[in-house]
Amino acid sequence: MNEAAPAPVPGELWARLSPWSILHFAARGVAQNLQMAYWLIPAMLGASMINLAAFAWYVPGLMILLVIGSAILSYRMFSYRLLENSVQVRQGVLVRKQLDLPVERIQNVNIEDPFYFRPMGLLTIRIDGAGSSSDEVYLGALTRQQAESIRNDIIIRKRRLAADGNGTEANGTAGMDPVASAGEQPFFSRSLADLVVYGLTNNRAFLIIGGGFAFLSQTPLSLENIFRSMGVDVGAYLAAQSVTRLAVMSVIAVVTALVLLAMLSILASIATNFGFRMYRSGDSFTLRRGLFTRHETHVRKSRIQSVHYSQAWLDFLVGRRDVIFEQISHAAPGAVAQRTSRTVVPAVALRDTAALMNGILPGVDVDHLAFTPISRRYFHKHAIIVTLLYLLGGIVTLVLDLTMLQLLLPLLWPFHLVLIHMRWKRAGLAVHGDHVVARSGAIGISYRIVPAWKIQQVRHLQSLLMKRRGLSNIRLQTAASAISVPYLDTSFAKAVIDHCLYRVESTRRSWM
Amino acid sequence: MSFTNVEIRPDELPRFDAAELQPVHAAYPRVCLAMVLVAACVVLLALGLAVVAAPPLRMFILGPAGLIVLPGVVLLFGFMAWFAYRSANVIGYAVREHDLIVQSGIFWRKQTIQPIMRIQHVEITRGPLDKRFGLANLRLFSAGTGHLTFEIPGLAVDLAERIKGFILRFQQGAS
Repeated sequence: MNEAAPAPVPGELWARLSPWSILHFAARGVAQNLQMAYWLIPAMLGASMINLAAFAWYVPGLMILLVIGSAILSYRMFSYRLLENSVQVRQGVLVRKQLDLPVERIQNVNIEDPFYFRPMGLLTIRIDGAGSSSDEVYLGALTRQQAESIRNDIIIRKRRLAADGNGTEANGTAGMDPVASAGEQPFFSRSLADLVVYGLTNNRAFLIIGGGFAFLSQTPLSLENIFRSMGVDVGAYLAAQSVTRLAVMSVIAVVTALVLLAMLSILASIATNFGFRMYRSGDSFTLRRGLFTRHETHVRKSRIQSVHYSQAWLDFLVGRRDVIFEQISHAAPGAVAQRTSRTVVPAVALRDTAALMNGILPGVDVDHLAFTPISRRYFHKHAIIVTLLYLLGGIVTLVLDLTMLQLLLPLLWPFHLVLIHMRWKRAGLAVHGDHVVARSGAIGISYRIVPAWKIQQVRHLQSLLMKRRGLSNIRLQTAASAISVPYLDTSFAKAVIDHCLYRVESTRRSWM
Repeated sequence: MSFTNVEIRPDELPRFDAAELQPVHAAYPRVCLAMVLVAACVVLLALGLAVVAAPPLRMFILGPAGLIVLPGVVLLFGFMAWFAYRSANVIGYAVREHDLIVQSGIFWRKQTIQPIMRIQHVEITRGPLDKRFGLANLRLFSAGTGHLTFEIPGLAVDLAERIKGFILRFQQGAS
């Protein structure tokens, strides 16, 4: 196939990876052991405190040696071969394992471009099997030629297999296009500005940093100790300042922290989504993104089980939403697959949604759909529960004499009621031809779109009280996620259920 | 453009709540009751042993606190027994041409409908008490439902097998 490649010419022979793959094994080893590193830091601190400071640095040194050693061994023990009907991998240092991944169970062949292979121009292939992550095969340090030839080989074999009878699988495999790079048409991309918006609106750094500070304050690394080690006594310094000055300083500190966190989040967004481009090819699309590690993801349109438009409150203010395609990796016959994979298209302007969706799931314009609202009793029920909780909280603050909270609770209560009111107003369900769309959210408006014929199971639920009032909750389950809508009019809910069942049962359309 | 917009004709569609629900096997509510009673016996026996073996506990249970604890335990098991019996009694199921329906719940009434075409595999399970009474549970798995599997408990064994056969034949016919 390609003469430059020493090893991975598909065939009966076991092939080895290039020695560069040691980097790949080391990177995976680090990723897998990050959990351990989390415990390592307190262990090191503990060691440094009990006069074992000199010893403390052996621990990370030992860890690094271990990672390198096991990476070299992993490389030595790793071999693979591509057979007509399966991909086989031998691996394992202490325990030898042979993984046999049948071609018909292969779901995706992804080519990744990790930053540590960038200088050598090498790639990693990830072959996704059915269901569990133990079915994943990584082949590290391949040239682009090798990687593409392996991918095309697998796809051709998959097609050949599908062509040999087994009609049900045939429509399921046609989507992987061997010459993806040739027939691809770009149709959607994200600019740097979009990624900045995404970083701002999805600021998850708050959580991480918050958790980090809480952890650090428990250790000798707390801010106060750091300042003290620099010769600054924070307590004495603060005591010497006036109240207004302290207030101004704390406001400045909070704002600075927020700006720093926002910057971090933006950087993370750019690192993961830089150069975000989507390409159409036949019945699948390809997505490329990433600054340090280039990710290339193939998604077959038929594998998408539901589409989620997610909108955080900041997204709402700037008129954006994230579009998330929810798929299931695979359900092998006889096994219940549970892994859902999500493909996120970040910060899509509302008016651009149609351009994106036309390439994937045309015909649903959620912004102009008529939604059936849910009952006002939903608002009543939650308003009563929340009010009772606030009353209880008020009594507690009175008994314990917490002045700050006494002032805060009456301010928060109406705000909370407004949020519940908005949540009630936004909840709704619409049936539009082949699709069922649920709307939800308090400030940002989220939608979940499910093609009715992909529904796996439906459920109708009501309490005795709801039954008397003619109200129902319904749940429409797909393989990747579910639509749940509370407090719908019972006759409407039942009509929706009957309609969905009709859609599932009257067509022979595959959900995969 | 593959977009279609077929009109919904709600009146002509088959209605899931029009299906006539079958009760589960007559012995099943009694089996559920028996399980609660067995649990109650175990707890009471343990309490009795504790009273005999541990003097401080004896003081506690035979003292004034016992006036609350003992009726409390009896009341709790009484409620559990009623709940188990009633729950078993309200379970109903229906097998339609294309799907199965199961209904359950006393306070929260729940109907789950499972299209046969989406079933990934079928399981028949039997506990020790089920064996004693010739009962079986039919469990159906579909993708993504996770712990929310579809289960019809308290079927006669041969009936469960027949429903399973019906599902398998349906799927063979479909593919």
